[in-house]
Formats: sequence, C-alpha cells, structure tokens
Amino acid sequence: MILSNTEEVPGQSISAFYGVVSGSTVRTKHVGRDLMASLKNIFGGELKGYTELLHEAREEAISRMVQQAESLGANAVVNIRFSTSSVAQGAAELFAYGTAVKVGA
Amino acid sequence: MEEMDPGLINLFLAGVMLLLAFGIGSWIESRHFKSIRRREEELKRLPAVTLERLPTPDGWDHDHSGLVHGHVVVSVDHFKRFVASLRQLFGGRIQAYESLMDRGRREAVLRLKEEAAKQGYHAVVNLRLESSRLASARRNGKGTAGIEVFAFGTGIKMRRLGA
Amino acid sequence: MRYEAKLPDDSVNVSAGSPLGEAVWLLAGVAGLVLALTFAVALAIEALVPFVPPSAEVRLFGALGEHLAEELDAGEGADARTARVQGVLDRLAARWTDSPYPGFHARIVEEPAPNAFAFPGGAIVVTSGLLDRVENENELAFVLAHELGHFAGRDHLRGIGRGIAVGSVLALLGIGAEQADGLVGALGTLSSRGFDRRQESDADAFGLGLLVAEYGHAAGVREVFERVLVAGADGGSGDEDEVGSDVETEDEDDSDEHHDVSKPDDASLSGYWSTHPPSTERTRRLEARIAESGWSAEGETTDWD
Repeated sequence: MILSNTEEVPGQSISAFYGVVSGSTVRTKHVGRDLMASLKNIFGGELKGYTELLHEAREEAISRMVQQAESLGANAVVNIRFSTSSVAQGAAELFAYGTAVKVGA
Repeated sequence: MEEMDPGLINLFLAGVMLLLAFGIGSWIESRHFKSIRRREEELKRLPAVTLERLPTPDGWDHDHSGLVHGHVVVSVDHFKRFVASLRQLFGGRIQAYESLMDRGRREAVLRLKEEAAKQGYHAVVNLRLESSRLASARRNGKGTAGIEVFAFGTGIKMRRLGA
Repeated sequence: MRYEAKLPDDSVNVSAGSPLGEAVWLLAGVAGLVLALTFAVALAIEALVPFVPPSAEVRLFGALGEHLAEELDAGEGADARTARVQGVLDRLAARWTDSPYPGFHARIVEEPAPNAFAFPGGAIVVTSGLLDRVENENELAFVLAHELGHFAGRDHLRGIGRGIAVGSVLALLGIGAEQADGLVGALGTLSSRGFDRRQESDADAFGLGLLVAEYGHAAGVREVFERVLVAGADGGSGDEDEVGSDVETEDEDDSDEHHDVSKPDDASLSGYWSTHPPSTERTRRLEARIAESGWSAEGETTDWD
C-alpha cells in the first residue's frame, strides 16, 4: 500500500479512485503513566510515556485506514490528513483519512 | 422492618441506571448505524475525496462549484461513559468512544453528501473533517457530553458538452 | 481515471468485543486495585500509629477535640449531666493505671440516636439519646470504658489515618474514574471495615476490664447490647432506624471523630457492611471472657437518673 499526503503518487498515474477511507482509534493512558507524566511536567522535557502512546495509536489509525483501502481493492491512499482531538479528559482520538485510489495499470 | 444500608441502595440504583442506559443506548446506537449504512449505500454514487481536483470525464465540462458542509453532535450513553471512565484507569483503547467517533464522522459526511446531492453536485473534493468536544457532562470537566463532527468540502457540478 | 462506487469495510474503526464483558473485567480490576491499595496503606498506618506518642497527639489534636466539643449542641441542663458523666469517666480513667493520656473530657451532644465517640486528644462525646436509655450507671460506664479502649488502642488515630488512606487512593484513581467515584468509595470503605471490627472487639475487651475493676462485676454489659444500643427497642420513634443508619454512613467520611459504640443488630445485611461486629457476636465474646476470668456477670448496680 502506497501512502502519500500529496495529490498523486509521484511518477505514477491514478487509474481509479474510490472515495475517502479513514482510520481512527481512541486511546487513554493508565493512571501510573499519568502520575509519572505529572511529575515530569514539573521539569518539562519529553513525556516519553505519552510520546509512545500517541505513536502507537497513530500507527493503529493508519493501519485501520489501510485496512479500509484494502477492502476496496485500492493500492494507494493519497492526500492523507491527520487530526488529533480530545474526546474526554485524558482520552485522545487519533484520526487519519485520505482518498483511496488505484495507481498504475 | 428490614434496615437497608443506604450504601447498598445507592449501589443498586446506580446498577439499575447503568443497565437501563446500556439497553436503551445500545438500541439507539444500532438503529443509528443501520440508518447510516442504508444512506451510505444510497449516496454511494456521489464521490467525496480529499483530493483537490478530479479530472473532468470526456464529454463533460465543469459547470460550477461551491462549499458544502454537514455536521452532527452525538453523545454516548451513561453505561459506555462509565465503562470508558473505568478504562481510563488501566489505559488502552476505549471502544465506547471509538464507536461514538465513527458514528459522528459517518453521519457528518452523510449530511454533507445529502446537501451536495440536493444542490445537484456530482462530487465533493477537498473534503476535510474536524471534531471537537462540547460541554462536559460533569462539572469537573471529565466525561463527555457530546462530540461535534464537522465535514466540509467543495461540491463540483459538471454539465454535458453541447447540452 | 474512473470512479469505483464501493463502500469500505466499516468495522475496522471500532474495536471488537462486548461492552458488557469489558465492564465486568474492568470492575473486577478496579475492585482488586482499590482493595489492595487501601489495605496496603491501612497496614502501613497500623504499623506507624504505635510510634505516635500520646503527648504529641494531645498537643496536635487537643485543641481540635475541644473545639469540636464546643460546637456540639449539648441541649438543656447539660452542665449537670456532663458533670455526672465526667465523674463516671474520671473514676474509670483512674482504673486505667498506665494510661499515657493526661486526662479525658466528657461532652454531651443533643441527638436521639444512642451513640458515643472518641475524639483525638482525649474527648469522649456521648449522645443525649444514650443517656436517656441507660437504666443504671453501670451501662453508661461500659460504654465510656469501651471508648477509653479506643484510646488504649489508638483507634481514633487509625481512623484518621485510614480516612487519609482511602481519600488518597480515591484521589489517585479519581484521575480517570469520575463515574466510578461512588463505587470506588464504597470499595475503599469496605476494605477498611475489617480493621474497624477488630478494633471494636479489642475496645470491648478493654472496657470490660475497666468496668470489672471499678464495680467488681460485669453487670450492664449485656443490657448495653440488648437494650441500650438497639434502635427503637424502648418504643422510641420509628425513624430511629434511619438515624442509626445515618450514623453508619457518616463515619465513612468523618474520619476525624469515629468509633461509635452503637450499631444495632443488623443481621438482615451481610456482616461486612457494618463497622461493628454483630451485637450478638460481641455479647457472646464478652460473656465468654467474663466466664473465663471468673468474673460475675450480675451484681449490684448503681442508680442513674
């Protein structure tokens, strides 16, 4: 699966398009991580626990989007956008969406 | 007279509330998903893409375009909110909110497509989705009262050449 | 470039699984977590309390206890009654020869439910309802001696400590569990009940010792459980059942006073929900102790009122 946030896949022409595919997941951190982060917050710097969590979640959002594209028979997703929003206090939604297309023959 | 512990009574009432919310909430949700699937099938012919432009098919010409949008505010039931708040102790995926976001997003896109169809557009390009949390159900700012999902894009209308 | 009108798989964005099953697992997890945490903190406090010298306790809480006592509504003609209760209390305290406390102060609060409380710093508060119900001095003396037993066990300090323990566990978990507060609170209280019940038994045993030392026999003990503390037993107003249960709920939060001696026979509920062991069990234990020590369960009682 080719993923891109440009209008087209460079060097290849789009032969068909399917519409929007999306992937999302809502994640929360556990209390222990919250505690560590609030300690870390005093001094600033990277909150490793949260970095990891959001990374994992974003990967999952992408993989769910890819699953949708595969279910359509597409081989690329172009013009991908990401958005992160807070669903509830301490719970974040990671969302990825793009246009599923078929490139090449 | 049997003396009931007020703690037990409260626990019992809370349990009844949760089960009631679960039953009714699940019914409303499954009805909503059914309606979403039906309308998605109906509007399948109208493409909505994140691309900025779509090539004009042979024999057609660009007629005009305009902004279209759709939005919805949805919320989860008391039971799912309860499960979600427990989940927040242990971390991980919150299924309850995943289905909430899925519902909201698909509904917003459907409303956008419905508006586009009403205005005679043939496709929607440069589709964008925004979501935000509305006022909280509890005063302490936790919990979720409602999620707004907003979908917007540009509808394009084509006309047959020589028509 | 053609358009393929197809719908994608719409199941991928919602994790699989039943919410009901998830709720059950999560609840079990929360219950385990809260029980384990409060138990651990309560154990730590149990271990620390003996290291707090009574002199420090009086210095810290003496003023607080006095203040609380002054705030209480003592009702009419309280001064004379207070003096009489104080007299009984002083005689009992004198029997506690190795008491580390400089002294104890009796206070009366206008309240129909029969009850008594031990405050940090040496104040003992009895309700007017208790005084109305006792038929002789020995019954009152046993209740006061029981409260002295709480001072001997430093239970009022444990009460405060556990209040803090439960509170901090709740605050910790409360970060995410806004909906679960009620439930988590109930669990926290539940986990500290086991400690309370042991303390009550210890205070009973201590109080019995003082009572026998003062009067030479244990008359009045059985009556305390069979008549004085039983809600509505003397034909009192019907709403006393409710008052009794209010007292129960209150001590979940008011960790600074504590240790009401009263808890009516509450066999309709599972025993774990009551702070105090069921009265029948307490009476049985005390009677066994009386027999064991060769004391007399009956004897001349001193009049009251």
